[in-house]
Amino acid sequence: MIERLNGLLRRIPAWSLYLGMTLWALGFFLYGAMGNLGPDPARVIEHQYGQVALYLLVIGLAITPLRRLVGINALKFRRALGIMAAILVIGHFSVWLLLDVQSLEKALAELVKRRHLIFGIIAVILILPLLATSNNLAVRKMRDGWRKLHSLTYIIVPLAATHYILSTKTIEPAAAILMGVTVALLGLRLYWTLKRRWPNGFAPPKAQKRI
Amino acid sequence: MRYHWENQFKENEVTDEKVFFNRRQFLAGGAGLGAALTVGTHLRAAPSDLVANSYEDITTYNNYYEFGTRKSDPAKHAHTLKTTPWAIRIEGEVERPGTYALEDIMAKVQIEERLYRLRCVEAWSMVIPWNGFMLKDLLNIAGVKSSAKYVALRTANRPDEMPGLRNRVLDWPYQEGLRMDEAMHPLTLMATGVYGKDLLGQNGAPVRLVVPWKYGFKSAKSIDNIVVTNRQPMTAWNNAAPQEYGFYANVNPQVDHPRWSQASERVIGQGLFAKRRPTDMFNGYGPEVAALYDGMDMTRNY
Repeated sequence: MIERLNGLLRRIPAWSLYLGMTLWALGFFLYGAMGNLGPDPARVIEHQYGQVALYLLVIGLAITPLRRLVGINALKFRRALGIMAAILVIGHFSVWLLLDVQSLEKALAELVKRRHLIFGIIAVILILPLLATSNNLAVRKMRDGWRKLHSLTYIIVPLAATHYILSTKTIEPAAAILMGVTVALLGLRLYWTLKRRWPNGFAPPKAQKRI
Repeated sequence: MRYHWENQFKENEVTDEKVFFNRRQFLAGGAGLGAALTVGTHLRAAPSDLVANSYEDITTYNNYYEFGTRKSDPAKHAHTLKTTPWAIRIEGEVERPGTYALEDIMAKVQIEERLYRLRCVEAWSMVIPWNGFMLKDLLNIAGVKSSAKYVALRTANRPDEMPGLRNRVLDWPYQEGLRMDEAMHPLTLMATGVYGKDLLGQNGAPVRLVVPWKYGFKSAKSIDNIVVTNRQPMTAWNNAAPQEYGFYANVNPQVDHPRWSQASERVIGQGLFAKRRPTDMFNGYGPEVAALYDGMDMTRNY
């Protein structure tokens, strides 16, 4: 079952993710521009871009645990997931600025005033250097620094998930699930990191053997 | 945004979108027996720049959490609400408490058309040609005691017909409330139709409140219970998040919601590149209602 899935993943090229997501994002926008996304298309596009970006980021966080715990190898998609998430984040922010708020001055005032927007804009700012360095050249040149820089993901994803939860009127199931998965995945990372540092102090021996 | 509200009936201006007498309104007219034809009349009570949204906009973009929290949910699920027969129980500080069949009410009141802008607390607005009668007329049928100060209006609470009730996002049943002078104001409408057609479930069928100078959440839908009281009633959103939603909830561009500015609003139904419009104090109905709040601190009584 897992092997068949891995075989399938091997046959899907990573560029198909770039192509698919780009076509979807553009198509969705055009669909809205043509009047097919209901009476409030700007909000629909804004929310959809943001939500999909967060899904991609969370999937990106899950790649390593999936490999270590389940044996699914999707490592080759991780860069594409990150890049497409960052592009959708830029789209999300742009639609909010240009089609929703429609004023740079008002947007700036809002960005420093509203809790959910503060979380959101920090995530947007932090993801930009990651987007800029998501290429082989940067990986080679930055060496150890690259890994350090890209561990910003562990801050960006919870910021984005918090932004989502804070921006809704009531707790939406999707927002709660994304937050739960984010916390679980980050908790797992923390557990692994601590265990690596203190191999004998923390984990019960059983869990150590299994991993 | 200067406008005038003429308390007089005019030839219909907005219902060129196939005006059909709504069945209930027709019944009401019939039951009135010889009374002047009450349908199709138009009470102009609006800023002059109002352009009605399409029937499709009005019936597909709704906040009605009893049928789900997404804007598209009510249109999908609200057909399960059984709206006939319907009665409103009126109790509390009234001379004639009891359960009033909607048909009997409709026979006694005047159905008018009102073109109102609906301003949602979420900073969007649309323009809706309602049909309905004044809440004042309904309260007079039951006879409000002179001591009464408030009115609580409650949405039907039917878990079998309202799938959203499973989700305890609010403390059901949905309840809203008005001060007596607000309830008695001629702008305060009990709507039974849109574009001359019976209300659909998603719009609050068969009868819902419309208070045009307040944020939309004040205008409770599918009302089956009215309590006239002396104490300010609990209201659903105020109860759920008091620092975000006040009892008064008057449209006010100067008082922000904690999470967004209320200075302007997105205009629904104008396409992807629609321009925001600046929000008017009291949603443009200031000349009619500002006096109700003389001397009140609108920042504290938001």
